[in-house]
Amino acid sequence: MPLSGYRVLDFSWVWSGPMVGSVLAELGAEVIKIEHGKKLDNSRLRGRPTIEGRSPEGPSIELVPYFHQTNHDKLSITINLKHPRGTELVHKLVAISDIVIENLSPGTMARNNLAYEDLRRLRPDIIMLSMSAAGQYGPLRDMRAYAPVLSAFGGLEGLVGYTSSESIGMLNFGYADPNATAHALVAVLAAVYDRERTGRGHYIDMSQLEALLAVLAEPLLEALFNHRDTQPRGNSHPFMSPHGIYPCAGDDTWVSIAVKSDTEWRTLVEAMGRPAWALKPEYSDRYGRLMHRDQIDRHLAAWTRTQWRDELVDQLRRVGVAASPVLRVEEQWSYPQFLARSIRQMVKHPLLGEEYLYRVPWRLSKTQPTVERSAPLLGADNAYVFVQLLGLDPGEVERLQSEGVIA
Amino acid sequence: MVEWGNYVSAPYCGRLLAQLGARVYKVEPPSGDEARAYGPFPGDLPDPECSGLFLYLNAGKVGVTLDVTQTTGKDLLFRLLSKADVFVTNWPLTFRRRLGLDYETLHERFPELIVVSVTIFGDTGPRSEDTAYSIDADAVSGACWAIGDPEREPLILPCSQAEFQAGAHAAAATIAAVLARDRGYGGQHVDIAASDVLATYVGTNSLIFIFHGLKWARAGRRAFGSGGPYPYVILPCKDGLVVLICRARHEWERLVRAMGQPEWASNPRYQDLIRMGRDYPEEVDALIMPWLSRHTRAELLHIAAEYNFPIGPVHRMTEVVNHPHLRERGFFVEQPHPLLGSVRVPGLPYRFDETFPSHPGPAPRLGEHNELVFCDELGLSRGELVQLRRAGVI
Repeated sequence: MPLSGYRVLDFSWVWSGPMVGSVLAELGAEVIKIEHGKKLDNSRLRGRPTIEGRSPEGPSIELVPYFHQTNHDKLSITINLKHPRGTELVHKLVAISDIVIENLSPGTMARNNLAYEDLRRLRPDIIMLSMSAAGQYGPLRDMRAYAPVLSAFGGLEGLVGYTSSESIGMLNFGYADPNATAHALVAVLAAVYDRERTGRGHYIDMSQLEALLAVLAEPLLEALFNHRDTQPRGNSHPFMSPHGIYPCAGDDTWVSIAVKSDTEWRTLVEAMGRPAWALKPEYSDRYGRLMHRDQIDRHLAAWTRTQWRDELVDQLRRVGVAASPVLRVEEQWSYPQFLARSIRQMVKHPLLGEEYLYRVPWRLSKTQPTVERSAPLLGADNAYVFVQLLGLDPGEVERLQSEGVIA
Repeated sequence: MVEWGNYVSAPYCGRLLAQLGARVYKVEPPSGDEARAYGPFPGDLPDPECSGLFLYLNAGKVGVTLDVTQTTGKDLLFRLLSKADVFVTNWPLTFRRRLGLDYETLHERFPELIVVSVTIFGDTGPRSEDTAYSIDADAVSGACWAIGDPEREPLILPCSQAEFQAGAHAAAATIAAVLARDRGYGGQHVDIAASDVLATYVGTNSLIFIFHGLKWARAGRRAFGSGGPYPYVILPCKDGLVVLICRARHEWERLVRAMGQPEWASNPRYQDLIRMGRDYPEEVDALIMPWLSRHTRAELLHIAAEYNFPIGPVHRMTEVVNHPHLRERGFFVEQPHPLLGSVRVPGLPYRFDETFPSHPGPAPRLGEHNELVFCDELGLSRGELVQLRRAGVI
């Protein structure tokens, strides 16, 4: 695998940072999550889950599916960074590691003697990735990294809504987090590539806010070029019509349909059985369809309402019109397309038993990243890391545990 | 790297790698990338050399035109590929197969080449040959299901987000494949599907809902059941909207203190954040909204900083582009432009130490580097260049 032989220390929390660590583990790296029993990753503290109507046995911090997803394939050690011996142990680990990841508030790593300058003294070619909410400097550097705060700040929440006057946002999604993960992976893998060629380490200051803005270029450019705010567009598209989510027969059942070319439109009209409304000459070209988008949407919705979702999708996709079912997440799990591409993999957790975790959404024909283990139990790898990697004798590990250093 | 890309996904992949120092050859059909027709255009004057989306996505690339549906065009593409490390494309699988530009065919000819396809459904599975756009990825991933008003139709993600996410993942996976090649694995296929990417995002975040007594479903301006503890909602204030989110008890207590400890806050009904979030969030909204309506977003941000609780003003884009924080970090950069002098565009989301370039230069005009690439680099004569133009190959 591309990162076999790499060791990663992961100081990050919640989703954006931990998921970077899990992907690096899928790519072959040994990833050690640095934990502390008294200050746990919030994701361990989501409470006891209910799975298939049952509440599983065991300490609740070990049972959270979300934590398992965002920390799979890692090792866990517990260490008190406020204790001088704790710092000493982490410094020893840094000296035998390649990459350090953190998404804490700026200054936190430095307060624990883990600033890039400290790390570089211990390991000159270390790669350090910092991914705070707004970056390591600037007036907003201390901003809290809750995803919806970022997506509000970056303007995303204002872009989602039914009509131009009404923003509704997309708070369920936590979109800023996985977006930050994707961009952080680009940066950290680029640093690895450079290090392989030149032997140089790197420090990366990634701003999660700026990573979000990087994918909102279109409305930002409207503001930069024309001093204009982009309003919510509902489900309409700037150059496709019809384009939307339409109701199907049954309750709360929906289909997406999108038409770009005139050929696709004619195919859709045939599929509908050439209704009179659709034969208007002004609908025959793209410009006309864009100008009459609302009328087309109304007619189309009246037709889709009479159709069963899955049959309609099959009918349209067979003839070359873009159509998809709007799936619930439970339907997504068993959607044939995703099953065929194995986007989830089954692993065994010591307390939950069988569970499905998503692997990184890449298909590589030779070096396919895979999920092999669920998340580690808290401190599961203390013995391996402190005894085998750092060469402490087991008696000393016990002493450090009783002194609250390994805790 | 050779990018035979169009519109957003493959071009975004190319942009990210160009900014990290890759030499990216962008191959456009002679009619041009569709993003050239998209805009936004400065002053609303549509010009294929002035489309903001195109200029942003293609900064720093070498631009050539080629009609690869013609034999001669395809031969020239192959000559480019023979010198390339990476080929990235987002044209549909059926089109690539018809032209003999699918992975299997390319791998046979160029065993060390990394072939990256970025599509909506990917190159395998029952939907791999379907016509599809971003909206299909939004629909099947479960993203739409949780965006919008429960009484109305689900909403899609704005501004081609599925394509941007697929492009970012393609860039990361491409570097991973290059690292693997350097370890002796040879070339391989990197198959990125926007639907897989969004399904993974949804599949991850939905875990905090569905296994903790809540649903992954649309709930208007709120996360469903407040995603656990109250609040987790967008509410109006004096001059716009703000996001309120408290994930911990102490944050809620600070918020209530900032409001001046209203009487209701000591009522037992407003102590259990989980119950408030799940069972009667609208009731609590109604108690907070009069206070919000007396303050502007800027005032609320100031209060939140003073009392140390999180709040997110919902910015308009004209506010984002002028924000002092982004100015101090130099996030927006001047990109040279052949007609306009320069344009201001979003920059890189990460700062490396001084060893990485960050200003990639202008986007290519249509066919700008045809002479450079076809004559100087591939050795064609000017006469051949003219013939290629007359034949519509370039």
